Amino acid sequence: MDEITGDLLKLSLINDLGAVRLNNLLEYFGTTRNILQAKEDELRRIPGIGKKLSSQISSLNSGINIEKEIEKLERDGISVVTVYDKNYPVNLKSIYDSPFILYVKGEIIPEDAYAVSVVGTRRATSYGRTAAERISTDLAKRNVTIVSGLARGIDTIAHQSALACGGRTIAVLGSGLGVCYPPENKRLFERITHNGAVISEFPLMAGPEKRNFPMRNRIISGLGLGTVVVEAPARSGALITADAALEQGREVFAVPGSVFSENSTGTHLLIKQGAKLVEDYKDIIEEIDSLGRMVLQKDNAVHEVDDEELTGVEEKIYSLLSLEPVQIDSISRKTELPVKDVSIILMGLEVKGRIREVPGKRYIRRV
Amino acid sequence: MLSIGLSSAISGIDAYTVKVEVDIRRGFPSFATVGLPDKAVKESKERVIAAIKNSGFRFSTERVTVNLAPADIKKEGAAFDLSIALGMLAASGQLPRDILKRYLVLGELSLDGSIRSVRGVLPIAIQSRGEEVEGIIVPEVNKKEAAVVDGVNVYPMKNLREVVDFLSGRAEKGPYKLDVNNEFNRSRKYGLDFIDVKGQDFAKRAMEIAAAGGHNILMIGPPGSGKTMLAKRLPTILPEMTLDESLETTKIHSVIGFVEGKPGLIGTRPFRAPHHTISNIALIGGGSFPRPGEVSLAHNGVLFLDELTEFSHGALEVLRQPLEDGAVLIARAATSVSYPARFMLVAAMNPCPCGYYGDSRRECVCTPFRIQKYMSRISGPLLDRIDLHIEVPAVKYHELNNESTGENSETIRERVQKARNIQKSRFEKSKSIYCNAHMQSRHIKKHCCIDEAGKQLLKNAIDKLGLSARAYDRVLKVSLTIADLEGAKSIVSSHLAEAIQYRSLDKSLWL
Ligand SMILES: Nc1ncnc2c1ncn2[C@@H]1O[C@H](COP(=O)(O)OP(=O)(O)OP(=O)(O)O)[C@@H](O)[C@H]1O
Ligand SMILES: [Mg+2]
Ligand SMILES: [Zn+2]
Repeated sequence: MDEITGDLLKLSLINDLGAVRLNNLLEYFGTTRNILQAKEDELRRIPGIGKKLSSQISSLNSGINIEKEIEKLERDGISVVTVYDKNYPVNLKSIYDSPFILYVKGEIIPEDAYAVSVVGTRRATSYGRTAAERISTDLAKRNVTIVSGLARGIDTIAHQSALACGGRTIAVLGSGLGVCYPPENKRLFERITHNGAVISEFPLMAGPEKRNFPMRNRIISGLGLGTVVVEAPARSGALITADAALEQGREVFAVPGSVFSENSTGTHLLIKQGAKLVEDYKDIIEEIDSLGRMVLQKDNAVHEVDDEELTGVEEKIYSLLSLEPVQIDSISRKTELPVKDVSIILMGLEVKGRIREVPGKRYIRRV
Repeated sequence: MLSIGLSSAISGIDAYTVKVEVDIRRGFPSFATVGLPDKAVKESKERVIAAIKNSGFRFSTERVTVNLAPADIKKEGAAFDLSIALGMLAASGQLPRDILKRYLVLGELSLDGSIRSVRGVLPIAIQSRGEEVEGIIVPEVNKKEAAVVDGVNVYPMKNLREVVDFLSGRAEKGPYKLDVNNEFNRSRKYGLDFIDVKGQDFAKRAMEIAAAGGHNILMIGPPGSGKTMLAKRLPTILPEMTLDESLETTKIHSVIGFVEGKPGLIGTRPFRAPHHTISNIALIGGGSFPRPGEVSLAHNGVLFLDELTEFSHGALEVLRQPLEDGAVLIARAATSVSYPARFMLVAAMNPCPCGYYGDSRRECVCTPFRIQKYMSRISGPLLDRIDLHIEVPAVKYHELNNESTGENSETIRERVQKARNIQKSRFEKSKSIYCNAHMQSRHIKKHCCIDEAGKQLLKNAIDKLGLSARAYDRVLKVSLTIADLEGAKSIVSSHLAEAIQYRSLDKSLWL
C-alpha cells in the first residue's frame, strides 16, 4: 500500500471528516502528508475544521497503528481504492464530492461504468417487487451493472435479480464492510462479492448510523448513469438518492404505481418534477445507451511506446512539441509544410506512441 | 351560362391542370364554390367580386357556381382568383367564352383588380407544355420564373383590366422572352469566398475533402472560432451547378414561392441554416397541404445545422431518411408526394456546455460528466452518417491579422471538380451514386482496396489511438476522396493516415 492510500485510510477513520472538508484540506496543504503533519491551529484555518476535528487529525499520527488496520483488511479480503487509483469508478470520480477512499470487497471492473442504480422503499408491495425484479433482470441481462444499497425491500430484489440472471451488481453500504446490515442479508452480501462488489466509504467496523445514509446514497446515484426509483413514499431515502442523482447531472427514472398506494407518492412526485416515467428497461436503455458506450470506450486505447527510429520530418515535428499543447495549424506554419502532410506525420508519431492528441486539435509529447 | 377556363395547382413539386368552370344563371343571388376548395379558395369570392367591380366591369347579383375539377384533390390558395374572375366575365357575356380554353391562367387578385404573385409558377410552366394552350398568363412578378421554361409563351399581367383587354383582342401583347443562359450565368456569383477565412488550414483542407467527396461534416469548436464562417463558404467550393440542377432546385423554391426580385433561376448552390427551434415539419416538409421543408430547399446544396446539440431528438431523427434516400416521402391518405432532398449536411457545435473545452484562450468550467452527457446528445445513428468530424479551434485575435489568407474558392473548386469527375466515371454504372460519400458497403469493398501497410495502420489506429471500429468504413470512403484529390490510382497509407485525422469524435478525446 502506498503512502497516499495509507494516509487517506487514516483520515477516513475520522467520522465527521467528509469528502468536502478533506478536499478543502488538500487544497490548502497540497498533500495528505502535509495534512497529517500540520499543527492544530493551522488546521483550524480551514473552513469546517473546528477544535474537535483538528485534534483528531493531529492525533492520527501517534495513536493509530495503520499497519494492523491494513493487515485486518487484507485478512478479510477487502481492498482499498482511492480517488487517485486507476481502478476508481469513473462515474463516481465525476461527482463533486467523490469519496476519497472506498473499501471494496469483491471487484469493480471497468465495465461496471455501464451501470444503473435501482432504489426504492424497504416496505415494497408485491407490485413493486415484481417491477423491480423485471427491470433489474432485463437490464442485467444487457450487461448493465445494477447498483443498490443492500437494504430490505426493493434494494434486495434489485441485487438478487441481477445475480439470478448471471449479471453484475454493486452494493453500497451505510456501515463499514465489517458490519452487515440488515443482518438477514449476510448471504446476499457474500454472493455479491463474487459477482460484483460490496463497497463502503466508512471504516471497517462503523455501525449503520442514521446520518451515514444520505452520504451512502450519493455514492449509489454517483455510480450509475441513471437512478431508477421503484416505489417510494414521501420523504424516503430513495428520494434522497434521486435528488443526489439530479445534482450529479444523472438521469432519474421513476416507475409509476397505484394512485391509492402510499408507495407511489414519492415516485409520482418525481414524475411530476420531470423524471422519466419507466415501464420497462427500454425506457432506461434509450437514455443511457450512447452515454454508456462513451464511458466504456474511454479506456480501450493501450499505450505503448515504439522504439522505432523517427524519420527526418518526424524528428522535425517532434522537436517542436513539448508538454504544452501546440495546434496543428501552427505546426504547419512553423515547419512550412502543408497541413495535409503535417496531418499524416502527426498520425505516424501518434501510432508510434511518441505524441498524443488533446482537445482543440493540439498535440503534446508523451512521457 | 357556363364558361370553362384552365388553371393549375401543385402536388409535390409537380403541377396538374385544374379546370375552372363558372356557371351563372337566374335565381336567388348566391355564390358557391365546389370541388374540394380550402378556406382561401372559398374566400376568393369576395376578392373576385370586388376586383370585377373595381375594374369597371359589371357584376349582377345572380346565382354563381364555381367548380374546380378534378374534384377529388383538395385545392388551396388564391391562385385561382384570376381564372374565376375571367370565367365570371365570360359567363356573363363580357368576354368571348371560347378564348379561355387557349390560356392557362394564374394569379391572386387584390380588391382593386391588381394581380399578386403565386407559388409554383415554374413547375406549372413546365407542366403547361403538355397542354394544348397558346401560352400561360402569370402575375408580372412571376414572369422570369415562368420564362425559363423552353417553348412556353409567357404573358405577364399586372391587373384584371389588362388581361381582359389582351384576351378580347383590344390590346396587342407579345410573349415575354428571357435569355435563359444569360439569366443562369448572371445568377451564379457567390457573395462569399474562402479567401476571407484567415489561417484554419486544417479546417479548410477538411472542407475541401468534404466537398470533393460529398461527405457530411461536423465542426466542433469554441464560440467565435469561425465555424459559421466556414460553413457558409462550403457552397462556393462545390462543383458549379448545372442547368438541370438549377432547374430542379428552382422548382422546389418556386413551390414555396420565393421569386420577388430574384433572378428566374437559382444558379448558386443553396445554403440553408434552419434555427434549432425549427419544427419537424418545417425541417423535412409535410403539413396538411404538404410543402417542401428545409432539407428540400437545400437540395443540390448545403444544409447547415448550427448548435447541433440544441436540435430536438426528434428533429435529428427525421433527418435520417432524407440523408439516406436523398428524398422525402410524404404519405397522405389520398396521395403521397415526394420531394427531392439531396444535400450535404454541415453541422457545428461547441465542444462542451460552456463552449471552451480545449480552448487555449479560456478555461472550461464543465465537469467531465457534463461534457460526456453533452456529447452523448448527438445520436449515434446521425453520427453514422457524418464522415468527417473536425475540431475548429479559435485563432487568437491578435494572430488573425498575421494569418495568411490562403487560396480563393475558385482555385479550391477546380480541384474539387477534378475529383468529382473521377468519381463520375467510377460510378457511371451505379445508379443513384454520384460521389464517394454515397457508397454502400459493397461499393466500398469494390473501390477501396488497401494494401498490407494500410491494414496495419488501421489496426494500429484502432488498438493504440482508440479509434472505434465503427469508423472503419467511413475512413475508407474519405481516403478514397483524398486519393481522388491527388489523382492517385489507389488508396495508400498516407491517405488513410490523413483520413483518420478527420475522425475527432472516434478518438475519444472527450473523456
Ligand atoms: N479564421 C478567421 N478568419 C477571419 N475571420 C474570422 C476567423 N475566425 C473568426 N473570424 C471572425 O469571427 C466572427 C465569428 O465567427 P463565426 O460566427 O463563424 O464563429 P462560430 O464558430 O460560428 O461561433 P459560434 O460558436 O459563436 O457560432 C466571424 O464573423 C469573423 O469575422
Ligand atoms: Mg456560429
Ligand atoms: Zn466547458
